[in-house]
Amino acid sequence: MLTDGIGVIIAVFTLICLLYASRATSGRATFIWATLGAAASNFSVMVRPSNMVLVVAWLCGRISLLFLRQRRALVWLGCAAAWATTAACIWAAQGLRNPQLGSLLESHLNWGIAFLKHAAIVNSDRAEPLFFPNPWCIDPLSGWAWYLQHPYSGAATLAGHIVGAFNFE
Amino acid sequence: MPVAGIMWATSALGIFNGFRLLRSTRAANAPVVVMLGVLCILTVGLIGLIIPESRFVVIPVAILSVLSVHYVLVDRI
Repeated sequence: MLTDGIGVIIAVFTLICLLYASRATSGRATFIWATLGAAASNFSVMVRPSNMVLVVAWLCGRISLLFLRQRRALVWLGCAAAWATTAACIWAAQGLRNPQLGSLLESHLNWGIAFLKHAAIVNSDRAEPLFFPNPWCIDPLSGWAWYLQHPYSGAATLAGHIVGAFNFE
Repeated sequence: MPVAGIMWATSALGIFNGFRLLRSTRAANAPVVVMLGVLCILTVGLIGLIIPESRFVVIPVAILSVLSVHYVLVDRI
């Protein structure tokens, strides 16, 4: 199974935790759901590094929840404790197993400058990779700086990536 | 209508319904709306930077599909 399916399951579970945490009437129930949600969102990074966006989204949802509660200090403390505990347990193992997350993003950035999309052609017995070249590619393999050096080509490339990803050919 | 056209129509209807529902969202559900909104924006933003595959947008497409089905089933039937 591809990691995308597991990522969606974790995202739905995390959303359910946030929903129950927002509707909980006691501090204990809020803390339990917050802990489960924090654990699930942190665990999703182990499944797939790009699930970092789920951790950020979870934290934004939790922070917005603080504006609905009377005892904000207690909820802040619970949120911080739940997140820090699970992050320490899970991210420590993640860091030991995969310390090259920065270089992974860098290589994906460079591939993204050279190509608009990656797909696969499925034959009878195997799948062949299919790369769509980026027509706005100028001087590739320079990472983040490329988008600043070529702002118009960079904007077109960003749009091309998004359109390509949503285009289910 | 090809699959690509159906997916674009579903996504467009989901975006439309999402913005439409924002007006009637209760304050108690604000955290969920914030989380879903941030998740969609960050996922699309990350996809804009890297070389994407269609499976990378499965989370935003899932959210938009639910919103489009909600529009058809709840508001139009």
